[in-house]
Amino acid sequence: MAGKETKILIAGFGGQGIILAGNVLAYACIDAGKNVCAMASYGAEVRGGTAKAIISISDEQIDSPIIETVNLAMIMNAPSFVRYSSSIEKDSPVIVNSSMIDQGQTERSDLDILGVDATNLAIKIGNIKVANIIMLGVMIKKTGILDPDSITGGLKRAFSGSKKGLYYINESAFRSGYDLY
Amino acid sequence: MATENKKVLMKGNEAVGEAAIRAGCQCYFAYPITPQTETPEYLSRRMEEENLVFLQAESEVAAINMVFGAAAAGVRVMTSSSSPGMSLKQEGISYIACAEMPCVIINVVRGGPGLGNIEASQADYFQSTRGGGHGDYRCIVLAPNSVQESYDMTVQAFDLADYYRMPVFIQSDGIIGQLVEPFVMGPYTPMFDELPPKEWALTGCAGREPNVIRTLFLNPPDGLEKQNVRLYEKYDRIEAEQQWYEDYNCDGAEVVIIAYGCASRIARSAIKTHNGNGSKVGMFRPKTLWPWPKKRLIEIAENNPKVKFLVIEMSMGQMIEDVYISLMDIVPKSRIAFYGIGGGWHPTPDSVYEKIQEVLAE
Repeated sequence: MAGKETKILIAGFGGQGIILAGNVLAYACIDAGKNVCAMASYGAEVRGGTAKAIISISDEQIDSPIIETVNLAMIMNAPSFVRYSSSIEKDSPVIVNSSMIDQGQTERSDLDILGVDATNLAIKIGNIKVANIIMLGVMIKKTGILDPDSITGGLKRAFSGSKKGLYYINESAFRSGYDLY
Repeated sequence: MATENKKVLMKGNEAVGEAAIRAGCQCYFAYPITPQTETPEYLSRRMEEENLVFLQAESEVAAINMVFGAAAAGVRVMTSSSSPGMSLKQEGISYIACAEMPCVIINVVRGGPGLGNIEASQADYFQSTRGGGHGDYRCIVLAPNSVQESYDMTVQAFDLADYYRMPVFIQSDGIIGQLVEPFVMGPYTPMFDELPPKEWALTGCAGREPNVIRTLFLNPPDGLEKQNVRLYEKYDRIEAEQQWYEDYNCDGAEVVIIAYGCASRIARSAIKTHNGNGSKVGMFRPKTLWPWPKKRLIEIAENNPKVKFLVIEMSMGQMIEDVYISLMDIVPKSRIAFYGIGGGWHPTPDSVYEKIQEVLAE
């Protein structure tokens, strides 16, 4: 996808680390020298509702922060899959959390859907909360939008200060996702 | 904190907070409201770290009067809010403008009127540029369209406020405030060689004549009239000195879009698609909403006698009045089109693209 703007949708329940996964990508872009613009949904619906982040990545200047359709998606729960699949462009890669999503829930047959048993894998690693980073690993391997080293750089920036202790489990979650396929 | 001049990642609202600290803001008073609450959230932590004054006031009315007090004491001070909260502050802003107190006021605009909604909007243009409070006054209004500009303009706002001795607004919106982008957190670089000393400040009058800061001018009978004339002489000077804008592809353009803030970025996406298809579309982006950068717009119109203008706003049409006023002697209204959406909603790159095609076909 070089030269073109990558428009990524990350969606799931509030609490699944949707915004965090977006921030890791955005931090990684700084290290990779790419332009990035991230917009999280905000509103009166965060707790228990769906959380959504849209991240635009490009070698060029990023103009509109309003993104209507995306060309890459990472979806972590069933309601988000149903709600947002219509905003994904034809033939786009879509990484779904198959622990919580039945792929038959969308009528779209023109998407390149890859299921990852992310929640169960995260439990095996030892922390259910790293399912988002496992999926990020799969996404980076499948699409090559960023170098894996810049993601680990992004993880270092995201898990700094008081959160530093969480870096290693997230780094190994990323590696296990990256090495999955 | 991050090292100087290295890119950091923040929301627009957080960048505004850090900019205030870098610019030497000593006091911040505010009351929470979506979509600006990241600024007080960020400053509640950072101002304590820096041993500065952070105070969550009991209301917006209280916060703006605390700003008045701190400004009168001669320190750099800021408040922030969003549209309904800004309405509450207007009485205080009128007083501050009358007393010529320097301060920085952030408005992260949301949908209105009324409590409206919490989505991004540009419908407070009239309120900010026409003086939402009573009386003859103006405030400088800066309109960022990125996180970088949210940071840079907030730093500059403190210098402008001290230099001209008046309130300066940052007019952001729910999207620019919530947007996360990398930006360069540069060191504070003064805009002016020298700022006037605050000899008027209420710092304790031992050994000198007392200073008086007031907004009531009952005597002499023409006292207030003289104060108004003085203010307007200053506003004329600012209009001559501070018209900020960016233009893009305007020379020889068939259509020039006029948009600021978030709308300018949506428009730029549409313009790129158009120019890729061979037509020539430019953009004029005001960076100061007051003073409105009319000198450059007039120049564009004069250099390009057939050009059509298309004003894009996230409102039912407010800035377009300044476009009409700027161009009234040289461009008929029939060559100025408008496309805007109110109620906290926004144009999209596709809908702007279609509107450009309509204007080109007319």
